[in-house]
Amino acid sequence: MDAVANHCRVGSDDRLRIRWPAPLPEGCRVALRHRASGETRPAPVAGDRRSLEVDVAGLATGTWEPVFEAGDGAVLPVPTDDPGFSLDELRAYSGLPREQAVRVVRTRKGHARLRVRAVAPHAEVAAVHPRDGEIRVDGWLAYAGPRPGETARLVAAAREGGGTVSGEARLDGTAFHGRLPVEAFAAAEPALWDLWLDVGDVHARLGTWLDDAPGKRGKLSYPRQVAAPGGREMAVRPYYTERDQLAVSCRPAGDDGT
Amino acid sequence: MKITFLLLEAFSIDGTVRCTFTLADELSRRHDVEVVSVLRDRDKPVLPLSDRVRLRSLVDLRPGAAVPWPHTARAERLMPEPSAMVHPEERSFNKYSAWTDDRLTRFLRRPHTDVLVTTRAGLNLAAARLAPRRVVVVGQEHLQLGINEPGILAEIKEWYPRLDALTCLTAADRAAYEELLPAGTCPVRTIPNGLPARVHPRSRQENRVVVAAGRVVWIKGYDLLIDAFAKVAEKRPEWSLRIYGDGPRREELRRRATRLGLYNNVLMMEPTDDMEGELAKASVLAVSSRAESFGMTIIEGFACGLPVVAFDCPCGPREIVTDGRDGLLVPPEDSGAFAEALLRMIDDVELRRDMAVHAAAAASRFDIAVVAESWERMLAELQARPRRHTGR
Repeated sequence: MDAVANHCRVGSDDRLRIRWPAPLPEGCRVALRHRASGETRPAPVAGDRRSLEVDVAGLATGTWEPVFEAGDGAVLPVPTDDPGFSLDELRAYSGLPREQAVRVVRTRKGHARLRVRAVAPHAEVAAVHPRDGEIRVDGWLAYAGPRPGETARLVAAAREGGGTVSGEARLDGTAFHGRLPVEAFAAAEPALWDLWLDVGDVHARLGTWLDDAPGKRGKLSYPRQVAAPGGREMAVRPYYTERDQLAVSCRPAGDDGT
Repeated sequence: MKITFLLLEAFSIDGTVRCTFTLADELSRRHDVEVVSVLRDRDKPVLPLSDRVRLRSLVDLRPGAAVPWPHTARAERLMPEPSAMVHPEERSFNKYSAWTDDRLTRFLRRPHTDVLVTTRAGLNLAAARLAPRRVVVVGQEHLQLGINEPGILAEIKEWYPRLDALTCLTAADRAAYEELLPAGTCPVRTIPNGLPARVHPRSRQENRVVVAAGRVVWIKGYDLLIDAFAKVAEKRPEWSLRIYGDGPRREELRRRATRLGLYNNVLMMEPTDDMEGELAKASVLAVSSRAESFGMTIIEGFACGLPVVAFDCPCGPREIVTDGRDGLLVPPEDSGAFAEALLRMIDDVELRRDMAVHAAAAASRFDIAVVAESWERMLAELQARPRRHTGR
């Protein structure tokens, strides 16, 4: 089977859609196979033999391979030329409340795979603006859905010592815009701060995970801002942790390696 | 026909190795093909090579590798001695030694093959001196002539006429070699690098991402690209630039992006083993090189359906990109013009989509089947009698 799918995506409705430019051979069957358990689920091909659509909500977590099933029991992976990444689609997908997320990825060898994982709400960071005495953060609330009528706050929690700094945040649908005052960090003891978006009872960690560019730490850096509210110059700088969470470092100026 | 490719380091990641493996794979469908590596520093090559192609090495540098009797003492004595055979101006002179001289000489005097293809100046020169007349020797140049130091140029002028043929990657480079070599001596051919036959992922033109890929070194002009992107981000802050690659300038470029306020727009990405997958996630390929010997990234980008914005440097991009059809060429090192071209591509979605279609079509010229056919045609001509008297 060398039919190459030209569309292979999971929509916000948790339905996997695969399309081929020409009809698949008569009798060709497609299934989804769970890598860890070997469980297979049929994915019936439509009457035109050029597409299929199957519900993938509730699949066991892990990797599922779409496969062609030959009559003799042999299975072959489904090749695709769909790169399987659309930031807009991922944003729309994560805009709904979910406990599990399913997406299609294309492997290096060009085969389609489904990645199913458990998710909790997080605040997906799209842009950070460290300037004018503030750290402004724009992004969207992922996997929690819109929270109309609920108030939002951006909260920084010192990794040690229990201090917090909070700043205003606005939620517009799932899009959020928040700001944290640099002076508030500088007035506290030197520390590393983890960031959260609090909306009602949702406590969402700030980070960037949906843009297919893991390992932000080595890929970009933010400038520092210096403030001296207590007469002591402190350098405040946003940074990404090794797990791609957004955090803030506050150290005495001249002590932060710049 | 038995065809042997001679590489300096077939076990490492390198553009020349990648292209040679691709060609060797394709030719091995119809011929007996072998790759000989002067050096070997690991058990398996990093880049994939089909089982049809045999791979062996002349000098084993793996830790614990022992040279068998009766050469052990000789190897120990010669290994630390500099090469006398390779010109000190060869870019990889330090990788050769008196021991590689010894092994190379032995190999080149009796290569046991019909066709020997050597893949860099140092090896082309050695083969021109030593290979027997009965073997057809083709020297391959992956870098442009102008990059060579005067000492090497003098050797090229003296010894290349003894090659049966020389291939280079661009017509511009071919003209440069033809000017250097006496007329009627070594024929010079342009044969581009080929794209391996496989299903390439195809950009859907759906992400606001410009991509660049290649070693992070001065010649690639990423400093100019980042400057250009500062102007792009001013007008189109929702677009980002991803630069894939490793190299000595990575840190410096990341700081440059931060200084220009591009921390939300420029990502210095690590190299990846699935570059095509990452290319296809983007919508435009940026090629900011100050000079290129060829432009393999452009062809890979084309195959993934990416239109290209490139500096019109002396070699490479201008022979691949058709300006206005599958990409835009801008005056070399003019980051302002580069920014304008990127913005034109970004803002005119229809133009971009049209160019993406043409780009994907243009990639077929570089299909490895097409490229291998050029090789086979040339090799058949060179083998046909009477052969030119090369002086070997």
